[in-house]
Parts: sequence; C-alpha cells; structure tokens
Amino acid sequence: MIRIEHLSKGFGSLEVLNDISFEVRDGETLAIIGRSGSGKSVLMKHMVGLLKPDAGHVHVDGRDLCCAEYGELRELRKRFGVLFQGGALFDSMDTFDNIAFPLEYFSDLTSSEVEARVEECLSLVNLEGVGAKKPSELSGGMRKRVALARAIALEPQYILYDEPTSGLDPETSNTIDQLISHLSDELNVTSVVVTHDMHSVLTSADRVAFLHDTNLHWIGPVDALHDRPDPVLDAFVRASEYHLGDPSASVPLTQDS
Amino acid sequence: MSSLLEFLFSPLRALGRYSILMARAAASLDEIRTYWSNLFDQMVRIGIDSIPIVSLAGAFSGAVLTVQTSYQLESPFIPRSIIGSIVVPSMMLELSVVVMGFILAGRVGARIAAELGTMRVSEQIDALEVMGLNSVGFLVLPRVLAGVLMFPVLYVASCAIGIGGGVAVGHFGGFITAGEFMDGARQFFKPFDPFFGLIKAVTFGFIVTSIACYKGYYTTSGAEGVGDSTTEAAVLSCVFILVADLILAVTLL
Amino acid sequence: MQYSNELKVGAALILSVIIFFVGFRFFQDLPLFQGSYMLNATFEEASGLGEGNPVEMKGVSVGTVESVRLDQNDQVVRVQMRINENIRVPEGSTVRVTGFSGVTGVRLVIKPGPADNPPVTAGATLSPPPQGTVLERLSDQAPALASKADSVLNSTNTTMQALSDQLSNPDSDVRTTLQAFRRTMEDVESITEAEKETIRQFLSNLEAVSGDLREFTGTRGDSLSLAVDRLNRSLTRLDRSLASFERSTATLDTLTTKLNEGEGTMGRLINDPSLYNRADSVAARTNRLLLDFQENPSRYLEDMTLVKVF
Repeated sequence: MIRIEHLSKGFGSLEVLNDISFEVRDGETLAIIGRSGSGKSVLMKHMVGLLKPDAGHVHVDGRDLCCAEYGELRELRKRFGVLFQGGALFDSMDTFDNIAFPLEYFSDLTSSEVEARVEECLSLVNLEGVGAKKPSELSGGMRKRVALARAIALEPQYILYDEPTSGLDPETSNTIDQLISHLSDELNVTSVVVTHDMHSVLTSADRVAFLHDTNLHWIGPVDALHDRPDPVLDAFVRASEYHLGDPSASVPLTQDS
Repeated sequence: MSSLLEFLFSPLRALGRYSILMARAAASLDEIRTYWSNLFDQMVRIGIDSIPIVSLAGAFSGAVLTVQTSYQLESPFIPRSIIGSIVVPSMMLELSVVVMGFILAGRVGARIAAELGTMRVSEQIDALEVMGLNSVGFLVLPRVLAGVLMFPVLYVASCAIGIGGGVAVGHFGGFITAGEFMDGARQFFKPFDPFFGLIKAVTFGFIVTSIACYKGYYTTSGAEGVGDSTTEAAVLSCVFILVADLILAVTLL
Repeated sequence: MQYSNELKVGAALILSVIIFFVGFRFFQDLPLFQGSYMLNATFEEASGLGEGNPVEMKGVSVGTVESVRLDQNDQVVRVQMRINENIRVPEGSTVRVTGFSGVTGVRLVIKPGPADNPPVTAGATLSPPPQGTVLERLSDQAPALASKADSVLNSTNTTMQALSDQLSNPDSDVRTTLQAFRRTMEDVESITEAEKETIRQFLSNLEAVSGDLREFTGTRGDSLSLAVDRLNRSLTRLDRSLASFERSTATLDTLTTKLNEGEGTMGRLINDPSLYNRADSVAARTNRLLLDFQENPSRYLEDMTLVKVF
C-alpha cells in the first residue's frame, strides 16, 4: 500500500503540488488524471523516491520514503516496476539485454533462466522475436511495450505507468490498456496509471484521482465519473473523450498550471 | 538584490552539488565489484580507444617542439645536445600531458557529458534508480575511476611517442642526432619529472571525467540541455586543467 | 578474434608500466636491468649539483646523483649517489663536484684510489680530496716569489750597470778603472754570496710551485685561469727585469770585445781567472734559475712572453 500524506512540492517559485493526501490500495489500479503540467508525473516520481517532497510524507508498505536511508530506499524500489513516458530503454543495449538487465543485477537466475524469463516477458507484451533489435530500431509503441516487459521482469508488487498511451495510435493504445488490465488481474499487481487518456482510464482503472490547480481535486471510483460529480472534472472528461485516442488529445499547457 | 545573491551563490551551489556527487561516487566504491564490467568498459572507451589520438598529438607536439627549440638555439656557442635537455623535460612535465588533457576534455569529457545528459533527459537514469541500482555508482564511479586509472597510461603513451617523435624529426631532419638528443636528455634528467607528469595525468583524468559526469548527470531541459552540458563539460575541463596545472606546478616543483 | 575488455585494459596497464620503467631507467642513465648501490659524500659546497646529475670515474659515467640535501645542523651538503652494481670503487677514492651548470652540466667525479685497494661497501662515504691549500699557496706565494726574483735580478742589474759605466769610460785611468772594476766585482760577488740562500730558496720554492701547479691543474681546472692570470702578471714583471738584464749583458758584451782587442793591461784583465769565474758563476746561476723557470711552466703556459725572451 502506498500512502501519501499532505505532500507539497515546488520547483523554485513554481508550486506544483499542494497538500496532497490519498492512498493506493493493494491490488487496485489507480488512474491519476489531470491536465499536462498539473504535476501527475511529479506525484508519481515521489512514490518511488526519485523526488523528495518539500513537505509531507510518502509511505510504501508502512515505510517512510522521505526519511529512508539510500540503501533502504533502493530495497523498497525493487518492489516497483516503472514504465517511463519515453520508455527509458538503455539505448546502448539491445532489447534482450534491456529486459535481462534487472534480472542480471537483482536475481539469482542462471543465464538460461534469464533467457526464458525475457522471452516470457516479451510474449506477455506480444513482442516475440525482437530481442536482437536496438531500441532505436523500434517504433514508439514497441519501445513502450519493451519498457513494460522490462518493468515486469522482476515481478514487481507495484507498477507505475507514466503516460502509457500518449503518442500512440488508438490500436496500440488499446493493446497497452489491455496489458495493464491483464497484469493487474492475472498477476495481482497494484498499478498507478498517470494519464490524460480517458479511454485508458475507463478500460483499466478501478479508481480515479483528478489533479487540478496543484490540488487533489477529486478522488473516487471510476464508475462515479458517469454521475458527473464535479463540473471541472466533468469538463476534463468530456474534452478528453471527444479526442479519444488521438495524440493531440493533450490539453495544451495552460498558464495557470 | 536577490538576483545578485543568486549570482554569487550559484558557483558555490554548483561546487556543493559537484562535491556531493563525488562523495556519493566515493561512497559507492564498496559496490564497485557490482559494476566491474562497467569499469572495464569505460577503461576501454576512455583509455584504450583514446590511445591513437593521444599518440598522434604527442608525436606532433614532440616533433614541433624539437624543431622549434633547435631553431631558437641556433648558435655555435650552445651545444646541440641542449635541444634534448629542453625537449624531454618539457614533454614530460607539461606539453604531452596538457595537450593530452585538452584533447581528452573534448573526446572523453564531451562524450561522457552527452551520454549521461541523454540518459538523464530520456529518464534512463531514473529507470536505473527505480530498478534499485545506484546510478552514481553505476554511471559516475566507473567513468571517474577509469579516467584516473587510464590517463596515466595515456600519458606514458603520449610522452614516449612524443619524445620518439622529437628524436625522429631531430635525427632525420638533420637538427640533432639521436645520440646527442639522448645525451642532452640524460644530462639534465630529474627523476621527479616523469612522476610529476603522472601526478598531473591522474589529476587531469579526475578533472575531465568528474566535471563531465557532473555536467551530464545534472542535465536538464532536453536536447538543448544535453548540448549545453556537453559544451560546458569540455570548456570547464580545459579551464580547470589549466588551473590545476598552475597549482600543481607551484606546489610540487 | 574479439578480445575482452579486461584483457585490453590489463595489456595496456602492463605495457605502460614497462615503458615507464624502461624509459625512467634509460633517462636516469642506469643500465636497464641492472642493480645499483648507494654511496654518500659530504661537501662544503654543492656548486649547483642536483638529482640525476651524472657520476663519473675517469670520464666514464658510472651512476647518478640520487639526492642532494643541505644539512642545516652541520652546514654541509650531503650527497647520495647511485653507482652501477658492476663498478668497484676502491677504498681511498675521493669525489668532487665539477662543471658549470648551464654549460656542460654539473657532475660528480670520483677519483679512484689505488686499484688494488678493496672496494668500498655500499653506503660508504667518500671524502672530497684535500683542497684549498694548493690554490692558496700558489696565489699567495706567486707574487712574493716573483718580487723576490725581481729584487735579485734588479740588484744584479744595478751592479752590471755600474760595472758597464765604469768600463765604458775611456778617459779614466785604467788602474783606477780596474780597481773600481775589481771593487765592483767584489760587490757582485758579495751580493751573489748574500743572495745565494735567497736564490736557492727561490728555486726550491719554484720547484714546489711547479709541482703544486701540476697537481693543481689536475684537480681544480676551473680555478686555473685565475692562478694563471696572477702568475702571468708576476712573470711579466720578471720579464721586464730580465729585459733590462739583457741590455746590461749586451753592454758587457761590447765591453768585453773592446777589452779583447785592447792593450796588455786589458789582456790581463781578461786573463784574470778569478774575475772571469766570478762573473761566470753569477751568470750561470742566473741562467739555471731561468732555465728551470722556463722548463717547468712552459708545460702549461706555452704562449707566455717569458718563452720568447729565451
């Protein structure tokens, strides 16, 4: 369980997050939505200790990340798999080595077992047989799927997705959404999906947290969205749905963020 | 007023961040076995792959120094072996190691800064971190260590080939025979000279790699940021090579 | 074949260590794979000696200076030198600093002791040769010796002048002249008799100087020019005295010719053996002095005006 308490964060004079508190329950898929620049990714990075809050705390399984020693933090991070926005594949290595990388450092598997595990992960993301390719030879969607395969290689307890479908065509987006649901249901991982793709939210999420104007504006089950609980949220949801699956769905960066 | 303070504090802040990064690198020394293959990989990239360019630069600086020294000392009252006693210590103490430092600031420093900068902006460093790896230990330490270990090797190559180049040009160019050259070199040889060159090489190795790692590791704002880091790494390395050169000369000679 | 990174790095490291070691030994002028041992020496003055300067024995490089240290307590310079293993330095060897920094470079020169002496052991201290006395004796005594020679020759000169004055006076009474001449000769004799000891002393001194000078040239080449300069000045003075002596001798010569051609009384004068012998012995003694002088310094001072005189 990830619990966030009164978290505030700013960069210089720019305030990004202000007094945010919520929790991610074990086994659920929580979608964090909001406009671009509303601090969704920043919030997600706090959950793995990549950023330190200016105020407040982040607890992972009861351990406070803010005060943890670096060694302890690293141990906690091994429970996470993170899918970064651009994939963040190591471009000096080929696809196979990218997925095998965490296995080589953090598992006791033999090289044949590693090979088997890599193939298994690749088949989970429907990408058999691309192991020898370099990340630069892959398309954007393939790169994200390889990155996802790498994120799940060590069978993490939590998976964080940063904009998993942004910049992808509708079909690939659907594949990714299905993968998220599949992983969540089959492997019983706890997922946090940062997105502004409402289609993605509706197909894979259990609950939704809406960030607006540096605050956690609304949080609730995904079914409640149909009841139009909040006018600002409603406007965001409608705008997104209108551009379903289209990369230009990103709401332009606004001055108020 | 606050912008002035900011202006005054920013170098201090940079120094602080740099020192903390190096302290983190030093703290991850006990993990170096984990990153063993990384270390050797960097030693090859920083060291072995630089041998050709460093040798080339060494050979030419030695040759030019010999020709110019013999031009300046063209006098019947000065024994020609003096050319050897000027060229060899100059190569050992200063020329080979500083020329090498400048070249590697561009070749090694810029490459490290660009590499780490790209890894930073494409979140590869974050990816390493969330996997539970120590990104400083994984990326910074092997590079700095490889620099400190391989720059002396490059110095030996540059110096040996530089002196060889000087002898060859002097001999076949008809300025000074190899025998005279070596006699002069031996006459005024100070045993500390090559060790001083080694000390400089180690220092420059640390300067080039650590500044490049610092600039690359803390790159911000995309492709432009990577470009800035790369340029700054090369320029700052050259500046600090000169500063360190002076400090070492004043304190150790 | 694909070489592993470890292999490449290892090879590069080993290779550079070898190059460094070989180059270092090469420039240090040490045999590449030969051992060495240390010797010490203490000097009053290092004359710019520094680490890495060569150590020579009979003009052959046998090692290098390892360290030069100023001992503040004893106010001396302590020098450590590294000698090649196969070089034996016999006991009784001395060591000194020669050369000018900047021109030929400063070096240590070991003057080996007797060859059948046992070799010194590693870490032994060689002493500098006894120095200073030769230079001081030479530079102090040369002017004194020269002025001594000067005064001897001057008095000879005056005597001869007086003699010639007397004899060249044609108007004087021959007897008076002869008596005067005899008196003059007696004077000469007495002077010569009186100066005999001085001349002997001078000659032995001169011998000592020549001996010292010979040794001195071997030991302190760089100070030689100074001494030579001083000696040269003294000898120029001697030269001037000798020139006037020559003039006197020439006068005496013409006089003798006149006497040979002259009357019986003059014949008697010539036949007087004691007079002749006395004059002769003065001339012979002076001659011996000058011959010796000519002989010994001429080995070093070939272009000196002294030689032209004789």
